[in-house]
Amino acid sequence: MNKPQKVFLETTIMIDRLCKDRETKSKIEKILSNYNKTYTSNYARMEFKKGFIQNLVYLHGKVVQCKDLTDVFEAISRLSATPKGHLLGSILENIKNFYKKIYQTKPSEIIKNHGDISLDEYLKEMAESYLNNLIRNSWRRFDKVVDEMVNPMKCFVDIEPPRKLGRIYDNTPRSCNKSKYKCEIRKFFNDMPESFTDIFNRLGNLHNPDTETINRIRSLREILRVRKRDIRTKDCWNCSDAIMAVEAPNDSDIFNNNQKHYIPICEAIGKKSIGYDSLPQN
Amino acid sequence: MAQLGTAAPLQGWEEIRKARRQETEGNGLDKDLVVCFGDLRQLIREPEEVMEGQKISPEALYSIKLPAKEVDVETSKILKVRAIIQDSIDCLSKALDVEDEIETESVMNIFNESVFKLTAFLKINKNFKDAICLIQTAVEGQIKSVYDRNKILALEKVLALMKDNILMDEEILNECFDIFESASFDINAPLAGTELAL
Repeated sequence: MNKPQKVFLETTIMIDRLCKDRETKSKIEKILSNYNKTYTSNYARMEFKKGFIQNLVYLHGKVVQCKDLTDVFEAISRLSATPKGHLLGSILENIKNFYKKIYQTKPSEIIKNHGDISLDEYLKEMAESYLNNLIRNSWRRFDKVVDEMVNPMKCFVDIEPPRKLGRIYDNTPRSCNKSKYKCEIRKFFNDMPESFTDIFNRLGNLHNPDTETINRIRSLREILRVRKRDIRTKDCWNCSDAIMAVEAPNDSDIFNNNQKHYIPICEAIGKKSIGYDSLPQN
Repeated sequence: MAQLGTAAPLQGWEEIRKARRQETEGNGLDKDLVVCFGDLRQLIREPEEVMEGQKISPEALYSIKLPAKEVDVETSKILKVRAIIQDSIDCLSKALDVEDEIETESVMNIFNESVFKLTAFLKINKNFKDAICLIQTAVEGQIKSVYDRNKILALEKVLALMKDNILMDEEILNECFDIFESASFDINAPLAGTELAL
């Protein structure tokens, strides 16, 4: 059987590919080995910046400014009880445990003679450096881990990396509404009315759609209803999964870690949604 | 070795400059900083009027009186960190020389301890600290695996870069990262098991 030619890496997979451990990366590589060419988009990069990178920037800033990681955990615990707060907590917990193991498995003699640093201090320094490395390198390598970046609607063409302001990062502008250039998202929707209408109809037929899907249906209805009006930023972001599925090159599969939302969207436009479950289970 | 010659004297010069500063109240918004040259009238007199005692020897013009203690601290820190890096590189060369897998891994265990000694120098330079974090992460991420030649060579390359660039810039740091990445080190091992997508 011939290899399918193209695969589009959606934001969740880009995050995993750039920031996850060896095991996850090797799963991704295994799936990608079935394809000849890989793609992602500037829209995915924008989502990466305003979502995941912004979380890391917050966490890095807290680690820099707090006395120790206990204070950072306390700050995180006071955030609203959202999945984001939980995510930040588990990222920091894993980082802490990783470096704690390094410190605690070294002979006390080495720590005394060469470390000259308490566990708390070491954990704070390492967490700061690790997050710093992660922010810089994941951004720097975003377009290097795929063969081609697409941007048919000229989304956020002046997107910039997070900048260091002294010790901490400034991640502005992180959303396309702060861009100096107007994107062509309205033209993109008008050029592809069938695809978006098909997605709208397919999502409308879902039983018990979740909040995200309900918002997507509402925004698609609005966008498709008045075709001369500019698209509101909020509606554009509500349609993000649909937009990425449509902007992916023709005949490409959409590789994502969000099958729940991508399967119906891809079905509607004749593309295939690929997740980690496409790997044969051992 | 250039760093030994440049970093410390510059710091010494900075100290001298600071010592000669006088602060005066300016326009109320900020403080003006002026450098004190003594009596300005002395500067506009004819050269022959300058008293013998005020003459400065040419040698004195070029000598910088450094706070000797600080220079020694900086120099010895850099020498120490270079010595630790060299020890680690020696370990790696040894590991590359031996044929037996168990022996190689045993040398790498010693290397693992050696590289932790760099922890004492986290404050030398911001990017150097990030590089220490990177190498300790790479080594820890490898703890349950067997080193191949490619990985040992990558560690050697990174340490050589660190040794020559203790006061490193971001480009060198990026280079260190890319070397680890291309040798398939698990640089993001700390995030293993974390579900990153919301």
